[in-house]
Amino acid sequence: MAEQAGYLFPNDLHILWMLMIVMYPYITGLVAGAFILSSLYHVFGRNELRPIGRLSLVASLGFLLFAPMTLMLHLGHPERGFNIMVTPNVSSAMAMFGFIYAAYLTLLLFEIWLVHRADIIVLASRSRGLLRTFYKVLALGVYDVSGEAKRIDHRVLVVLAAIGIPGASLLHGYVGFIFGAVKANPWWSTPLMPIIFLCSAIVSGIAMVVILYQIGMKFSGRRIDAPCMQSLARWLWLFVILSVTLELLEIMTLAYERAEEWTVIGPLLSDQLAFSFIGLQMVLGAMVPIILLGIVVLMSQYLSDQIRNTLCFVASLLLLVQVFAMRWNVVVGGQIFSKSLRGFRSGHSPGLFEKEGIILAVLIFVLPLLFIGLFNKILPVFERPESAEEAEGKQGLPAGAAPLL
Amino acid sequence: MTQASSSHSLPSRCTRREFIERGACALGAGVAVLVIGPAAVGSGSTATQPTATAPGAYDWTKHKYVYVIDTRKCIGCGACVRACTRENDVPPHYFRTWVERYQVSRTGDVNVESPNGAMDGFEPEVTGDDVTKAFFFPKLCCHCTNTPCVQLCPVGASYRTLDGVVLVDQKRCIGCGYCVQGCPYGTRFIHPVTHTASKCTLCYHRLTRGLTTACVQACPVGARMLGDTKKVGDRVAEIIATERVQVLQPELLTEPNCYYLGFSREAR
Amino acid sequence: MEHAKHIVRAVLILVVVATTFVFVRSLATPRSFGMYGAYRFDSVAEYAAAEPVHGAPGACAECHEEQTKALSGGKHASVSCEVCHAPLAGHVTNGEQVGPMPVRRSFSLCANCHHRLTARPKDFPQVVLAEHLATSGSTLSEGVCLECHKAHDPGI
Repeated sequence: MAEQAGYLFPNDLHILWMLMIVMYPYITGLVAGAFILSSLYHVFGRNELRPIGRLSLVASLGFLLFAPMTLMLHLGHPERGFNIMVTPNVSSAMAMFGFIYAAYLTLLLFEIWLVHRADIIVLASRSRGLLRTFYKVLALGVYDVSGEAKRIDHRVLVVLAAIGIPGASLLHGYVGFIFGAVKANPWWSTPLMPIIFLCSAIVSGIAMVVILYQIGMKFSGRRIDAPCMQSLARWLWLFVILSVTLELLEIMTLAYERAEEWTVIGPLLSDQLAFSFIGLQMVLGAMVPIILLGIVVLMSQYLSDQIRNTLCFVASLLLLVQVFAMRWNVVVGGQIFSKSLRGFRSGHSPGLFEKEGIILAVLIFVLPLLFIGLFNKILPVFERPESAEEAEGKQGLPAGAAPLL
Repeated sequence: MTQASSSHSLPSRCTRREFIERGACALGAGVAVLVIGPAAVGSGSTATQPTATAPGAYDWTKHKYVYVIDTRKCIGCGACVRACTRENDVPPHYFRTWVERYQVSRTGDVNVESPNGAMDGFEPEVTGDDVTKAFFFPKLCCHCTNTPCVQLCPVGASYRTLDGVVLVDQKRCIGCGYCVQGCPYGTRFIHPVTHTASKCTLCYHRLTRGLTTACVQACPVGARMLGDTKKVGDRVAEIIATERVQVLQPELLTEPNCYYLGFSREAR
Repeated sequence: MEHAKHIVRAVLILVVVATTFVFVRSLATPRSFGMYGAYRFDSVAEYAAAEPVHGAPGACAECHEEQTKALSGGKHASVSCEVCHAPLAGHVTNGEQVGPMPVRRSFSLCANCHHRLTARPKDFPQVVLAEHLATSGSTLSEGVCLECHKAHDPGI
């Protein structure tokens, strides 16, 4: 039984939204963040980010595929989950999940397919047997890599990536809105919530791509591209500062206005959430990475590649923890105090083996990483010099390859 | 037959592949029109007949329920909580209705409690300070007109009937808990057995039989009152219209239909 | 257009998937959904169909005239029978008696309403049990209240 202090409404003793509902915005945040990072390259032409252009798209897809698992594990009736698409209540932000998810998944698959199409066709001609059939199906039976086809591909790609930016923003922003629009809960109810969620989502997405990129290069024995890492550090630094500023702004405004809700939110942040908010979210998770990334951004010319990579890696790890802590503090923090605004219950501690337990949460985090690894085996995610040449429109098939028909 | 992947295919001769492709396009478009059209329109009009009807001659368009609680009369016996639990099979430690006790000292310190929702009434107070003001405050679902819970429900399981009762479709609810988060009054919970949202139903199965709610019937002092604004000369509707009544958290504009007499500023 | 064949095929797949979804959705929507609002009307009937557990106000009078008369003439007139006894459903179903109606004689039942609480209205009859027993010269036992007060007509 939970420990209580003060007066809670009798039904407020039960915390409803637990670890899986913390994981859901975390995972969709990674999706949105990775996508927006990829669009910095595909739409806004930041060419120094080319090395991670494909990786960020595939990372986005990997986490997207496993995001619904969190919801399924939380619902009281997951078998009725499809009702959300059958009879959605259009006034409910949560009902938008089904359609936004489906639309964004479609868009992302389309975009990844277009980006990899040249590789698919080459790989189709190079492989044999079942794998060959697989690639041929992926190519939809069209093997046109002429200049004209590539131009069409590129145009469609830019349009998709451009639509994808509001799409990804909506995918994660609506989660922020789910919380921000609950007037019954003063810790959640703020217009800033979608933007805070989105900014910290971008932080987590970039941090994840930094980590995946460095690990990927380490595994394949290739060099980490310094301008790319520098650019990533810069964007990461910008969004961390923005995200933390917004988070603090919300709290400062509440503290200054000192309205009724501050009687619970003040103690909430200083007592109940002291470790996860002050310790993790602000000091270890924000102050330290801002300093580390600040060194990378401002003192770039004094740093060797090794130091830069290490600083970025450490900062990114801390930021992944910070964003998780932020989600925890919002979701669980908002349920630790009663709607009576007079009482608190002790925080929620997830068990290991529960439906909403730690093992499953870790699994949901790890499975996308395995997916990205698997994807890389089938379709190379890191640009290789050979495929870049082929993308320039070489018509002929490599020697030794069988005709496709 | 090799397919020319360059731009030199002859427009006048249709290859087998192209034929299949164009045919599939046309078929797809046709199917889309035939299916999407009626389906998009029909989702509103497929429902022409209810598959079940309410018992007897109850007409829900002839009623609009409201609730008044006179906190000046409440004695905190908890009979209402027990009656509700028995009438609706409410699981222990979950509450469709409960009673709070407020004890206010001269200096303005407020002590609020609701031991087990007041299921067994209240014990004599253990007060060291001078309690100058004390009262009981029953609570239940306010069956708001501008419900946040109905607005937030993603699958249309939470709804408001034409006679003003907010209910949860137990067969449709997916147990996401959004409505529980959205209720400013804490009146909802997720049922531990059915894993769906549950709350006061205003004893709808009694209302449709012309009976009053279990809590109103059980109250020994008449602190709880059920009214019907569509009934001419209804006493409770008259109270709301003429006396000084207050609702919980009016600034949220949920327009609750549960009104209080003797509402003191400490109550929330 | 020649070189956009792959785009066309991809879009075609999308159209097929979307069409299938719309079709499945229209099958999955319950028949009574949307009749009176964005909900399944059959749910209203399901709620209405549940059987009441407590009886109608005059239900006990049908068999227990004597107690009802005593009650209506006294200070407990506004107290429903089922509050001190038990809900009707455990005692009578469809006019047939299915179980006994419990009669509780313990002072704790009376004390539930009548022991003094600061929060109770001042004009409501309430006592501090020890004081009340002292003034009447009784000692505490299970049925002590009934030594002087009749349950249905408690006034002295």
